[in-house]
Amino acid sequence: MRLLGGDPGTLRPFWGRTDLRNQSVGQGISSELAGIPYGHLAPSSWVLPYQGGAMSAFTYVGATFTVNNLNLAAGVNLTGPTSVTFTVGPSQLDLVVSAIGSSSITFTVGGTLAGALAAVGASTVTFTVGPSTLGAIIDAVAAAFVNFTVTATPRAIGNLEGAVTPFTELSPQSLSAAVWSSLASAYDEPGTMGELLNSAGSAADPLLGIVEGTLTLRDVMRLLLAVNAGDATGLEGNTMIFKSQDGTVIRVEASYDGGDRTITTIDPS
Amino acid sequence: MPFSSMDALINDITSGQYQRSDWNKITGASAYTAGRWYDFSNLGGTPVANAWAGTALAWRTCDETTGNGTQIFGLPNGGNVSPNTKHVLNVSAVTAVATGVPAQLMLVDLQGYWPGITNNSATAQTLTGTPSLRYTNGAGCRLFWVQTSAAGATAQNLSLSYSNTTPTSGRALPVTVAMTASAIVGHISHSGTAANNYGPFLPLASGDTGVSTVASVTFSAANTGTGALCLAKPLLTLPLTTASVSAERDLLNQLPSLPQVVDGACLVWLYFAGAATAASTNFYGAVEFGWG
Repeated sequence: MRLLGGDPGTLRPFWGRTDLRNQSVGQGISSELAGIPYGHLAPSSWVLPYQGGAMSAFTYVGATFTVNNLNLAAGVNLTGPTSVTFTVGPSQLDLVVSAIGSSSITFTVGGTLAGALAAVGASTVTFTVGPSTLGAIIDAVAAAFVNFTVTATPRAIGNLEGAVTPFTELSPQSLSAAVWSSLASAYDEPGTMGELLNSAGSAADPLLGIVEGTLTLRDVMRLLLAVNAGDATGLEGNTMIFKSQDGTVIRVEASYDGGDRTITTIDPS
Repeated sequence: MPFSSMDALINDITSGQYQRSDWNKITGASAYTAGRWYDFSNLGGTPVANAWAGTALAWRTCDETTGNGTQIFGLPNGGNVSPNTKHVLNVSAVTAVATGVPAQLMLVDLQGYWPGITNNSATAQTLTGTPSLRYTNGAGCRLFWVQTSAAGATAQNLSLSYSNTTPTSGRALPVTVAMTASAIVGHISHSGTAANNYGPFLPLASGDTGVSTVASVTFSAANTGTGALCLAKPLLTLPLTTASVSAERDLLNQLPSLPQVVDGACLVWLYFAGAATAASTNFYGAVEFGWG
């Protein structure tokens, strides 16, 4: 029980005594704006300040979490106009519909974010996350900058929007490079687009069309060129050899006996 | 920074930025005389008695954690809290002895003292050492003489040469200050009801608001006895009106509100005997501090 002037301070007449205003006169509380509660004037003030002008907000000023083993489950809305800082140990955010901060939201966690529908920050959202799980994130939007520094398992992501640098495996540049550099033979399963593209490649190049057996038009042209205009040996003997234009490849090798010609080897490569 | 509001104060003290220090003191074997001031730091109890350690005539700094270097006699007040500021929230005291009231207690921050100044001299005694003060140039700091061994019966006046807060040296007491003949130990022996008595502090020259150092002390006549010249900043007063009823000052809502206790403050009580106080009178009390 507090005593004021020797009488119990719990008595109603001692509430709101003017000497309570002396708290703002002296070395301790020097602000003339300080009342009880702070920022209140009539009719909600218990003790009026010497001078109006103080502002207070007890619900939406901000929130600072410095906790371990935090579980936020089925939270409908997290809103902070100045800053919201999460510095938490292994934790879990489940079914959070919205987390909004007008200036910054910082997550420094080793935990699980699951089922968050939206996390919105007007200027900066920074995730510095240890081994964690981001699951079923519907939307993560940041107007200015989003930086993920994670060792984590992202899964079931519906939508991720934001300017992301530097290029990673999922960037358009990397994806296009991977497509154009892929081996056609690795994507030739019957009925797939790979097979269709491979077939289209043959149709587009007549030299690759089969003339006879397995010989393409290009093969045939090489063989004929060798016989008609390539270096040759053994034309008056029993074994004849016809070479490529550079003389390094034996295109056709044949034997001749009594008016009969027998082709023993062809090499159109 | 001071507290910004009651909300901030409550938040700070409930977060542990608070200390309550209970104290008790018992007066010595000699009765106190009505109208005189006495130093409680030299009395036994909690905290321990100040035995005025130090070299004669040499400045000895006092603070919360080391006292005078030998006895830690200041009231514990929570240690250094800068950049926060620390304030007295509440203060209380009580005595069960009828002659212990009416009285007044004054809490001061003892900056230090010059010990071993003899009353047995009629020439200037040069004081040494430069006080290291917790208040710039001694702003608000005041001087008082505590008798550390009983004085003889010879009447004597006290004069001294001090520096004010400018600091300007060579400042003198503006009036004749009479010491009390046969002053007992603990008596602030220039206080009392006799002619030319002043207390608890020595009067300052015109325009001066504090003392930064003292160069010399001179008595008008030689007497026996020894004393210490103390330099302290007064913080608050607490009237005791009724025996066995706790006197309390709510220093949040009553003026002066929330007097500040600076880092290192060596808090001791001075006592004004409103009535002849019997020997071995007990006093108890508590001081509550908060910082933020």
